[in-house]
Amino acid sequence: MSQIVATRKFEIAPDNLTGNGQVWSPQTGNPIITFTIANSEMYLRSKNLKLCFDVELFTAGGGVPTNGQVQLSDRIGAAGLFSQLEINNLALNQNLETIRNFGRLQSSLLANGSGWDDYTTYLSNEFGASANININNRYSKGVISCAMPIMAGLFLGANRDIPLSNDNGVGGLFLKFSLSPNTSALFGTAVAAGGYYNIKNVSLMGEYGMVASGKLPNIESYSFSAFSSFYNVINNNDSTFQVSPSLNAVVSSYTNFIPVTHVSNGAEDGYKTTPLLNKDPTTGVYDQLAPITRVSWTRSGILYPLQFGIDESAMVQETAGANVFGNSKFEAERQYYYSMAIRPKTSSQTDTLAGQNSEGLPFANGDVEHNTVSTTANIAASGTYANVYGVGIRLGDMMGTGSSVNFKTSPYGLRIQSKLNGSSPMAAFTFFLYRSRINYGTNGVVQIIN
Amino acid sequence: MSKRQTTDLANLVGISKKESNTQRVETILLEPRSFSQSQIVFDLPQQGILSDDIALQIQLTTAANMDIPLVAGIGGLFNRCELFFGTTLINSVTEVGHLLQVQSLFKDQDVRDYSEQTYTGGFSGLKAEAGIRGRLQLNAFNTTLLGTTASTGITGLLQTTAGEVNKLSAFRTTGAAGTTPEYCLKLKTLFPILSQIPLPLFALKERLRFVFHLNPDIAGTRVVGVNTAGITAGNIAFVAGNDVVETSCKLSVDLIYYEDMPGTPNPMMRIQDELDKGVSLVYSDYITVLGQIPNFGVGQAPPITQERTMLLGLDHQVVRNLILAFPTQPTSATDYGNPILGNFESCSTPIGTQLQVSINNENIFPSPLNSDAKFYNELSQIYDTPLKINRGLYSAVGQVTTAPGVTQGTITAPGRAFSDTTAIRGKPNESLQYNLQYLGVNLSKNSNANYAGNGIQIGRQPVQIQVTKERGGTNDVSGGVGAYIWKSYRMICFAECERLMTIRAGNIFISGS
Repeated sequence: MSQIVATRKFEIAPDNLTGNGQVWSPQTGNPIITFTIANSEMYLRSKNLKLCFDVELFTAGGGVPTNGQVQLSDRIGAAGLFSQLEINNLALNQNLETIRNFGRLQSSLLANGSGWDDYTTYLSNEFGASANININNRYSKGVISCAMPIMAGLFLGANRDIPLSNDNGVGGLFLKFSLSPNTSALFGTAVAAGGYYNIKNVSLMGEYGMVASGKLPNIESYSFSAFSSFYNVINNNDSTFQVSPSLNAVVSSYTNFIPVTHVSNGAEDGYKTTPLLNKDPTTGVYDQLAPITRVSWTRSGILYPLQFGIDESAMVQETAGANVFGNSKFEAERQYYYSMAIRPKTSSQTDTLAGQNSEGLPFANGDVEHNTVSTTANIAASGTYANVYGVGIRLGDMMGTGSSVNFKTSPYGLRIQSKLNGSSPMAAFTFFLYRSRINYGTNGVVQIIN
Repeated sequence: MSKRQTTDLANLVGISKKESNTQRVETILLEPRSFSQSQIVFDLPQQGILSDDIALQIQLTTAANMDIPLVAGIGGLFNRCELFFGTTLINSVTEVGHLLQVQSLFKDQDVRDYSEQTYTGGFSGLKAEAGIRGRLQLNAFNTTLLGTTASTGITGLLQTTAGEVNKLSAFRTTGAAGTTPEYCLKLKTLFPILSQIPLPLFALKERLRFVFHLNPDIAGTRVVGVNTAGITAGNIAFVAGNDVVETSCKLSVDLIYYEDMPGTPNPMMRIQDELDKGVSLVYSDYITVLGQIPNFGVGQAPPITQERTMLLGLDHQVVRNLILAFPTQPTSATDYGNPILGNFESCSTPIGTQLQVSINNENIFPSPLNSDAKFYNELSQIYDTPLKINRGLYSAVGQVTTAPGVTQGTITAPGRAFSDTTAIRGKPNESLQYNLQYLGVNLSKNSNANYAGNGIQIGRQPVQIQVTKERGGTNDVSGGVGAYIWKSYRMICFAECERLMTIRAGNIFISGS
């Protein structure tokens, strides 16, 4: 922002740091990491805000994992270590944003907002993610050093200089990261037997922006973005998910899926975003495609914002054999709306993990080592459907302060018609990106309006 | 990479957008005013307005088994580049190869794969190595057709034998001007002023002059040794005779002219009128400061701590950012700093590095940066985009072990990112191991903007850069156990400083802003 005349770098240690060498872990240390960013007459420049830390993975006995024993998701890396992020204002301890299922949110944000350029270069430094299971296997054998941007709505919004003032800002921030259990955060052949992770050398790195007068300009309100999440299970071939999110300025909504038995499983990557899958009736493994035939969104029961359903029934191919819908074609229209619900938030470009990943082909370019996410040595058969998959719809202006949709009193509905067979429950994680506002009353009253 | 906006010279003097749309662009090709194997000079004409599309075309013929450094490419040819107005130095940069290399690493990988190879001859595309989980090598796609162009993928690299790749033959330098590639160096990457101010050549009393000082023909600068006959132990002997082809040197210059519109004053005249009154414009320039981290004697056991303080005399200048490089100091004119990267590497130490910068007697960081994650984060703020290289190239973390009983900083087989059994042009890929760890400090308020005061003004005290390196590890030492000889590193600092250019009555005056 042009009114910033000077910057100052900061490094904030966790509030619950007790000494050198402390580790945070659901097993061997504290499972919660908290930071306090004090209120001051400065801006927090969120574009330069990074959570820096080192991660180490271990087998049950504290040994170094060998191939595929214990590893992070290759799509979101260390972001999967956090199950929930809670951001409060410090002055009044009011909640600004709480992201449950933080890792599942990143599964859509990162994979759908980043392409091979990103994964093969900087995402390995920021998240320890490579989108290549073999490379992440190798990462798991040593310390994984991360400089992770905090992918919360508050920090990704159009207004990325956050006023920290008590009178004219958020009044300082309190960040609380809750760590995921080992079986959620990690997967591999030795996780169920006690594989675990430690986080150490944690600090919040960033930059303050200062104004010439030394006091932030008066504001009557401050707008910011935030994510909200809901969990649901779909099982039937015609499933409607209805929720009243109580949000009056929603700009985007999207849903990603994973077989319910793969969540917190330890043997399965809990952060993959598969298409809808049916279980094999004999083996019980989710390895049979259940393609979506139609998706539609409603507000108060009326089709909205699309006045039609996305009809992908023509893509469904039925053949004889075990995986009867396995030859179904790529649902381009569904993917288009899904991507449009996410991309503008995460990337100025249009990168995404395309082709092999979005379409679920086992390998790209005939090269098993180029970008495979699905080698068979250490991942269950359903890993071959580790697509970048989901359904979503953009409802408003994601980057600016323009249009949005009120779901305060109108329930949101998502209807998915598919080839699910009724005995293959799929977990559906739905996220809303919405705008919120802090209003400052003349008598010192601060009110947060979602 | 850099998203800074260019000054709109036409708008500056009140020419409307509609009028400025009546541009005509001429491209001219200039021959050198003087040429030698150590210096090339070009004079620009006194006509038109200089566009930022200005490029040096050049060819290098090389001796047998010699080729340009893999990532720096033709950038390794240049030691110092200068832009003069008469005798007034406007822009300059020393250690050009490093600056070009680090700037290219901020570009997207696909841009590098498609454009850097042909423009500068720089190759940096990585893939996972077939058959060995997660190790990286220089190649884009696996191949079953050894030695054929069908297997080249997007990086222009070719698998010549099992476990070894080389550039496509069209990209390899040769000893003949007719077959060696021609490179194209965009000068705006060297001279920030070219993308910040369109220089009005027609309104200046003297010519602008580009002077390119070339690196000497010694190992690791212009060339490194290559071998296509399998992995080669030890250095491939340096062979001199790597020369610029004089007839290839040309400067491609785009000049902008504003056309007359009926009923309005000639825009070029209006620009000249304003410039005659005096116009002040902000741009940035690089100051390069060199230092040294010495070696240690034989037999000193790791770890060894070295603290170095570099002082930058930048009195009263506004500094926008600092970039630091730590290349290996070659021990002789025939020693390559790095067999693949040449002298254009920046070595990480496997155990640890600390960095603190003190400006005007105040520390920039509350506590010294002490982890690779923090270095990476800070460097990525300089151009407001992440450094786009893999962690195997940047960081030793996870690739080395410091476990009890193990030599400090030994690269471990499970953690190593690059292979010792696959090679690029005869040298094992492991030479790339965490050898592109540039450090950086962002001091600007807005990395994407070019305005006066967009940095920190330095007072009378020199800027202090304090670096602590914990030495140790297989990449950091030569000699066997008990006979360690610790490498000596050069320490190069690029400081991007603001300048104020005043154009008045055909003259250019430069001052710190």
